[in-house]
Amino acid sequence: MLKALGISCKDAYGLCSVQMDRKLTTGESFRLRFHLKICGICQYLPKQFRGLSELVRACELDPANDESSDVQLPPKVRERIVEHLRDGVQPKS
Amino acid sequence: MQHADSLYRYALSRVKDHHAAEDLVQDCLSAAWQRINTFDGRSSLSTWLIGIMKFKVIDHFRKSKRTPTDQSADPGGEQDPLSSVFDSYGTWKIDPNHGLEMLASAPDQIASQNELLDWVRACLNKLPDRLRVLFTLREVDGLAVSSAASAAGVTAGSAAVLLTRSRHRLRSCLQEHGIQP
Repeated sequence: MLKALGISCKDAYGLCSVQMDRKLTTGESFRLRFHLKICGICQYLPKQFRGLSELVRACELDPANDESSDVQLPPKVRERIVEHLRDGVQPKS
Repeated sequence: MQHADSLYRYALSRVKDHHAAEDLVQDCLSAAWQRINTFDGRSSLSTWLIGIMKFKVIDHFRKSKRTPTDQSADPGGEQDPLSSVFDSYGTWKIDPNHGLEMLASAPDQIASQNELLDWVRACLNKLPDRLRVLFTLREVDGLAVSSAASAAGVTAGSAAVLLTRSRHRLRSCLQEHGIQP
């Protein structure tokens, strides 16, 4: 019975990742939930995948907010952009 | 132009190319200036600008004309990175929770830790280019898998495998750094 219902930790790990990208089928969802109920090692995986996702999002937005960073637009490029905006671009009415 | 530096930092962190990032800032500010009448002040100006920049970054990847390839077999020189952590029965050979306790914490607690974000950034930068682009388009920009695959230049069929591989590499990298709660 367990063998029929069960999936390996590797399969469960894959499904935890897949469910970040699409809805699992009923069968996949059932097997994953069953595995997570009986496997003490894998039970935290779904939370970890969601946490990783949150962390990456925070990380990717962070450079824009990091005012202490010494990464700045080069002055020449800044001048070029100002000139471009002044000369060529008009707000759409 | 007071927001140009933050836009530049954001663009550079995504495209990893100074010239492309500079052009993106110009495109973003031009687009913002053209649409300034649509800015209603419900969000801050910087949030609005970053929102425009996100679309510019996605366009940049789309226009890069990466040739779609099935890279599921070789996204970064490895055949199956999962084989090192699972035995032949698919059982863990390692403790998958070791060093990753923080990932199960509240998102706002995680995001407030600058050191942690630095590690994540370092780990993201270690991903092969296509994996990083695919993963960030999917996870950060929220594109559908097929759209992210197309922009990253991988086939839709291999995208699921590559996304799992990206997540696995990131987890492994974070575990190597030994994040502590």
